[in-house]
Amino acid sequence: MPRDYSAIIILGLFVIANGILMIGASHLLSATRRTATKIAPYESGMPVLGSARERFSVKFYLVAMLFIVFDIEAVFMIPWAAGFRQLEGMRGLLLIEMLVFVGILAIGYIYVWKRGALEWD
Amino acid sequence: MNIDLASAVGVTIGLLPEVVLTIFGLVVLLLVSWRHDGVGDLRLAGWVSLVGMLASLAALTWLWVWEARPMNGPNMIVLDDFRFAAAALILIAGIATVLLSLTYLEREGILAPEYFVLLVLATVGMLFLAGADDMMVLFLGLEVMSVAVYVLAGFQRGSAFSAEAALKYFLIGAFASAFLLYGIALVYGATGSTSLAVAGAAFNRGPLPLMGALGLAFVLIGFGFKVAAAPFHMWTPDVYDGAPTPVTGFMATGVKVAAFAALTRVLVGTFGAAGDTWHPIVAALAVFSMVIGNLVALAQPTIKRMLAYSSIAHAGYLLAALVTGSTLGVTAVLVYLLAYVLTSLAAFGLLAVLGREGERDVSLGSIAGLARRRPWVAAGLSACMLSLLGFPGTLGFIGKWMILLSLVGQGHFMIAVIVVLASLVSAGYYLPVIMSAYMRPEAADSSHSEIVVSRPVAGTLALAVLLIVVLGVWPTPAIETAMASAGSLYDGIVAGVHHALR
Repeated sequence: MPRDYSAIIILGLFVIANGILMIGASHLLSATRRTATKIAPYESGMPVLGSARERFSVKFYLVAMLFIVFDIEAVFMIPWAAGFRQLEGMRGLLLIEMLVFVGILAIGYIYVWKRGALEWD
Repeated sequence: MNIDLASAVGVTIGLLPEVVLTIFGLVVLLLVSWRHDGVGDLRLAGWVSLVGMLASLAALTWLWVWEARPMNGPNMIVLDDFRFAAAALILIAGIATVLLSLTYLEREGILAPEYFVLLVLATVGMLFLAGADDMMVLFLGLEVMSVAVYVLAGFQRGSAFSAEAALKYFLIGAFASAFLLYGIALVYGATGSTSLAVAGAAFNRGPLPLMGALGLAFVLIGFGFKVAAAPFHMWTPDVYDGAPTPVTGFMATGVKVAAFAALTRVLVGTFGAAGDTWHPIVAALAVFSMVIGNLVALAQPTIKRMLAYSSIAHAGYLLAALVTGSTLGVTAVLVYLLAYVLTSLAAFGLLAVLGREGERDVSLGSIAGLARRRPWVAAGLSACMLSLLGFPGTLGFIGKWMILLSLVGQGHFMIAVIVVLASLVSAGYYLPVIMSAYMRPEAADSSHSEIVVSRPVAGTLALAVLLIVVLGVWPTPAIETAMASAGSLYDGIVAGVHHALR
């Protein structure tokens, strides 16, 4: 059994060795002149404005969560669609099952819509 | 009645209780989309949920009476009396929680009918957890249950303690789910199947492989968190204390029944041949839970926290019954779960009644002299405390007696002694509640006369207390049903192995 995993172990060792080599080499060979810009979190990006620990409106989280629900729905549909062609004998059942799944999500969607979670104001 | 679980119709029939309850959950959700304001809509959602749970119970009874059994295997779900018994207990917990919550939510001003949607969907998850014969279904049921209960724990939005309870339960519950999932992955790695029956047949062939043993350890840790067994109990007091009291009752009963049903099936079914590996681990968990739960409960200032620690101790007693892994042990688990469900529901229900402004503050002092003003409330509370203690004449005694019987029958004398000693210690915190209610003078500023017990609450509590006492005196039906269910579990396991090997 260990033989089966040898490729993975070799890959893992190579990755670790490579990482140590690159970081170690740049640490040893580079010149270090620390300036304020260089030690900033995003050296070549936007200048940092204020603290990141601010309160965000709960609406952002709501939209993010709703997005995940429907994103996952799509994720489930792709293997279903791929299998639909192959499983010839049970297409009717597959269709009903997907309709049940989408139907349950639709009821959730109706709830979210009616309760106003999709309105920004 | 043999059901072909390989066909779509067969699965629908086999899952009829779950299907019915899911449909009702969605109906309540649709209802709540339009009718969302005020006490009237809250009550409507509550009553529709109650009808759904009763319909689900009727479907369950139908399957149970007609002795539904699978025609072939391996399947995703089981059909045996053990599942039906556990599901009946879960639905009883759900029905009682709906009835107790109606008045509670109105009194506390929590006028969000989504409460009942979550309650119904959590119950659906519990039913799946108790009926799973495949680790994927098991995990799905666990997550459906847990996610709904996380939200329920934080349902009192104005209370910081409720929010704390929800956050702690969510973080630790997610952690525990990850452990369980990792265990499932390892068992799959060792056997090549997520089916409990097929994995069990694979473990039957020889000694437990290292990967299987690791899987067992992770699964035990995951379930240990869910049933609140020491040393995985740290979250329990704060979560039980901060959550709204009917939700605490639901967590202490429904979640525990579902998790114990699944744990029993996994240990006895899948790891049945590897008993020597898990018996000492479960015994250690049982002893830790009994000792820590009982000793720390002695020092709790409020009754709600005391009941939280006592629920850890009760998880310990249940694990002690599981240590035997015998038919009698599983029978004892079922009888004890029945006793614990009825008693805990009544105890938390009474606590919700007693705590008018903040049930977190109900202490021994604040119930002093309760018996003079409210004799029935005091009598119910006393019956619950005696049953939790395991006093003869109550169902709690029958449960403990069955556990001791199964332990002694298998030669686990040390654990039996610890069970008895732990129960003895628990008298130190159960009996003062009765003493305070009956023997201490009423405080000048007490408000016992303002206690309002609405009709559904009074009916539920009276029925629960009555069952505790009646079944405590005449336990034959409960014991016989539990015995038949435990026997059915073992028959199902044998049939499952047979199907898997074919």
